[in-house]
Amino acid sequence: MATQDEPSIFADLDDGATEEDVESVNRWERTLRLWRETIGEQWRMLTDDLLVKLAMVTLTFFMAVAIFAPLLAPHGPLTRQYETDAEIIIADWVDPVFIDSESAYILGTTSQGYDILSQLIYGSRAALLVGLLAAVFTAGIGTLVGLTAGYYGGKIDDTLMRIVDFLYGMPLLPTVIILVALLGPSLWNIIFAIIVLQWRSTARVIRSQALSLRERPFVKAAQVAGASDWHIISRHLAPNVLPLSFLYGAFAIAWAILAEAGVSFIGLGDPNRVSWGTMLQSSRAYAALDFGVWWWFVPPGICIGLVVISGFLIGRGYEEITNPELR
Amino acid sequence: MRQEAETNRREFLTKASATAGVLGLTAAAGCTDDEADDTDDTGADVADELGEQLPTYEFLNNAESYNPPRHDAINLMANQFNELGLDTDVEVLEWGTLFNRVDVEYDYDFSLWHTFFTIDPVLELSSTMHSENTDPGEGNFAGYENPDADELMDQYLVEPDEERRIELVHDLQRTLMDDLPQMPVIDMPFLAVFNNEVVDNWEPDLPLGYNSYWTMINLEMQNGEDTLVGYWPEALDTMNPLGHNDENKHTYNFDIMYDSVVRLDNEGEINTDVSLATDFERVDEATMEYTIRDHTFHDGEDLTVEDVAFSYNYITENEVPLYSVQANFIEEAEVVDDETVRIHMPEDNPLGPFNLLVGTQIPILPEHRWADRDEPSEASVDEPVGSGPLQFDYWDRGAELGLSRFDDHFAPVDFEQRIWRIIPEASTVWENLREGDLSYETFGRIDRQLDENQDLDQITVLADPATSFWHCTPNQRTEGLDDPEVRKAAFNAIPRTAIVDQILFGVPDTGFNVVSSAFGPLHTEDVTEYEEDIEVGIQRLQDAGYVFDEEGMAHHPPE
Amino acid sequence: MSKASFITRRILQLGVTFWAVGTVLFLLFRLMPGDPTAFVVSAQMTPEARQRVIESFGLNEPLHIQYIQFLQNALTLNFGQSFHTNEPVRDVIWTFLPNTLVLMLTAFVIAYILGVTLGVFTGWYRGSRFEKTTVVTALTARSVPTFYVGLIVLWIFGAGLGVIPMSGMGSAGVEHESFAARVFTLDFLHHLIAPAAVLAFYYMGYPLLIMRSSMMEVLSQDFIDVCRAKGLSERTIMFKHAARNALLPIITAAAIALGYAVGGSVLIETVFGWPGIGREMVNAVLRRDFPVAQGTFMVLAATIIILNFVADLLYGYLDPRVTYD
Repeated sequence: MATQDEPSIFADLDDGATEEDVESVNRWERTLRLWRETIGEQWRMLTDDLLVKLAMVTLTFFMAVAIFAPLLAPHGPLTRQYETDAEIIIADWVDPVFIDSESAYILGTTSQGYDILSQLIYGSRAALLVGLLAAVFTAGIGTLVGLTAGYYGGKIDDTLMRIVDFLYGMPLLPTVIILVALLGPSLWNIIFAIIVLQWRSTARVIRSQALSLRERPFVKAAQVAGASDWHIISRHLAPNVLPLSFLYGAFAIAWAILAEAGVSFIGLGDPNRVSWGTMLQSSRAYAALDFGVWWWFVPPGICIGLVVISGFLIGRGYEEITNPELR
Repeated sequence: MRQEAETNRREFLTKASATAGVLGLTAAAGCTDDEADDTDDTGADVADELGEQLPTYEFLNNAESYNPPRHDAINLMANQFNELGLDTDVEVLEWGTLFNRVDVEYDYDFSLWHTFFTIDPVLELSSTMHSENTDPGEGNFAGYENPDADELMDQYLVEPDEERRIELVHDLQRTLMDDLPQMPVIDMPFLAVFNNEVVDNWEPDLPLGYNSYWTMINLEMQNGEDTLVGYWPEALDTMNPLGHNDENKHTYNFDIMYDSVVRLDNEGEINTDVSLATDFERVDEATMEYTIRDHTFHDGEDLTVEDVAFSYNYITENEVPLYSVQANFIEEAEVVDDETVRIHMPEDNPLGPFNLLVGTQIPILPEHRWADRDEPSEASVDEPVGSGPLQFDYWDRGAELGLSRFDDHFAPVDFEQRIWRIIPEASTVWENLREGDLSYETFGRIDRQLDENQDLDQITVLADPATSFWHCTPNQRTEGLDDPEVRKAAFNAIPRTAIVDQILFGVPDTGFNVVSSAFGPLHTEDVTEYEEDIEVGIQRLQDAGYVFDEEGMAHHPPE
Repeated sequence: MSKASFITRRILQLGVTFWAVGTVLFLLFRLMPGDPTAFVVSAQMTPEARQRVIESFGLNEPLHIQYIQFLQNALTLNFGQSFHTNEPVRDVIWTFLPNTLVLMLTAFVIAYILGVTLGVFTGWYRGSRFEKTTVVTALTARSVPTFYVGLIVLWIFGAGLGVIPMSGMGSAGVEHESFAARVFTLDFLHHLIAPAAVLAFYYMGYPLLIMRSSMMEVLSQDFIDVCRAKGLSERTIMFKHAARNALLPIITAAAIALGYAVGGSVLIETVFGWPGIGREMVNAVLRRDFPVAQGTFMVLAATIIILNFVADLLYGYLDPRVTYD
């Protein structure tokens, strides 16, 4: 793969600086400070870029919407809206406010009588849940595996990398489809299926970083000083690959949300939960396009696009940090 | 409606009811409880002392994409059951799993199935309602056991006198509607939806509706059009007439590519004018004799009585799974002379309506093509050769099937070619239909597009009573659902009118009887009817001794 | 390590990967809930008829026997027969794979020509407004699901303007001698245009961004200054010297991306009613047709595995600096 000969651009963060106060500060505080500095530094570099800032704002916005969904949404996402006098009668295909100013529903209702706006609001929960969990696990598992493989090398490396090779042979969407068909259509299973595959690229890239890092003087020095493997991995290697982990984490948000939308669109989405993907599927099942009911199928697509592009932009922001030649 | 397809084997004899049902999830599941339930403080009095609550029921639903109206109807019904006081969850399953759960494993509490293509109501009911068939996979998925009903069905099937049979089937309807093992929700009509600038004169037959042989040979093309274009949402599986799984999509095509000895007309009568047999006679109780007309196969070879006898014997001897039911009634086919063939039934198992249940079903195969095949149901057939009014032209798997007119057929069709396209997207169908790129709505979806387009000048919609209906079936193996009063209360709670008016755009009629009016004299209107009112249902539960908690959930009375 | 032994080792790894994918698939499908025979046999079959069908597919054998059988067959590229149609899975694959490949390759060629060209410009005009807009557009194209773009394209150009067909690979009633004869018709092109354009729009972003980074790297190297000093025109430097050198990462990336694109074809095939292998796989999974699902999935996986391998080889071939470790 093409990543092996990438130049390492990481500063050796803990060269020198940490040596002098070895006695005075306890290890945990030092580790904590080290991590804080690393993250703080990257945060500053990252938010330098206007686009990244916008992406952060967008993600924060959707997170707020997701958290406060019950307060924001006028109705339950899967609560049928009934017309007033005859309870049974479903208020289906109610026009939105901008078509019919009398309408009680800002974006109208679906053909089954669900409030579209509420579905959109609750849909952010599924999207962010998928995105963030996938990001955390992708970055976490990938980094751990990559560092372990890269640092220990030999058989461990070989075994782990063969697993990664195997995962690279699996096409994402078809695999997720099969796993979901096997495990049952629930959001957790979709997330699980995505994570199972997604950590592969993080692991591969982090490993090649670790390979070159472990030859660095500060690692050698720590080894000579008798530091434990775990100490070296967590204190010397991990901070140096952090930007890469974040980068892949940010991309994972985007890919995971796209994958969830795709699986839902095929009809294997979680039926008990509204996501933007299931909204699209439903609007397609009821041919909303044909009736020009764009307020049903346009908004979920836009929301998906916004969250996904935020993930990409943040990822790209990181890419520029990790690869200054792009700046 | 693949489900329909899947279940629509020669249903009359089916052991398992042809059911197409699916599940959904409960409307309430997964949402936060931000909605105050402002309807449950209606009828029920809150009891001070409660016995055990009735269990939570699983209403199995199909995925929305599979069949949107039914998915939605199930969600709505589950909502209403909760309002009634039955704690009901909806579980959405992919079609295969769903079918298995309900029809084979009987692991469900409520199901909503679409029964199809029943030629005789009692044949169908005796598989789904007879207490002998309650073991897994045998057909009585409802778990219904009633000796009175068993008795009526058994008598009916052996009763030679038609008047007496009608009495028996009327009694059966009354019994079943009093006991309510199955709730008839919607009577589904046969629909002909077509572009009248392309084709006209649509006549249905009873089992296959507007996709039948009778329909096809009676169509009249308009304005010089010579191509009939139909569609299906999914690809055909095979060109082997013995190797398919009896889904509608296959039946509709093979039925017109292969002749059977006799054919039905739109009155449900055997019509020898359009049948391969110009005459038939029941020689004795267990023997049918057919006089076969001069005819040829699509490849030009003569169709002889040997071919007819061969087809019957071959299908029986090879135990072709598709026709395993019919094979039970075929002992042997025998050539009498060069235009007569006799079919012997087993002496101990003769079948009354042999023509209807076997004669119209067994395809006549060319012996010269099939004789060497050992495993007929697994044979790979590239170019099927039959003798029907349409012959195989080309099959572009996954895209379309082209059939062309067989000019030498005794009941020719009025078009040169019939094309069957694969169009998975419902939305594109109507676009094509309006433009005349599709001649007819083969699949018969009832949706908003039908509703909005049916008044267009070029579109005609015909609806005929069909034998098929949606029935909600409670699993009587489940506690609570074995009580007829609970079932009746649930039926009271099903918003049949709302389902018809809103989910199905007013096209079908609400159901009130398990035997459809399409069965003519076999049907009776003199059965117990149930009001569509949830309050009546709640009252019924209270009268039956159930008590309600503050949430409006039904409990057994305190011990 | 020598090049030859590197290749040998990679081929061995390839074999192991195939085995692993096949084994996992085999196990997954056997663990799936739902009785596969429920679809093959009709509900009213007699128990004996049912049993015969089950036996004919070897489903009555113990799992390990089935597994050995599966591996043996897989070696000869025999994936068995469809539960559903009895057709050999190989034939199913041959029916659907070419359709997917035509669509994907068309989209890819368009995407890479456009993407690379735009990438050259964005890399060259770094910091310009043009660069920013193009990059954001490319990212947007990758952020909106293809099926969604496809639906909207169908709505506007199909239902609205009526300039593209709504579904399928060809018009009704047009029969072709062979696959090749079909592909070279105007009618086919007419049906191909919308799905290919939607895909191309989506895939374009990737080569664009890689090309842009790659250009930036190349442009920071000394030889560009030498070119400038020689007085070569901007255009010559941009295309002849810079772009050419920057193209390397694109080629390997394209091979890998193509593999994954074939795997991701299912969505666009669904929207445009394209009878491709992705859609067939989903259908097979849904109807529990294990042999077809297995076979089609293996084809998708094999495409990826082999193209990854090709990318590795290409990389070594194109970049002499690579050592085989």
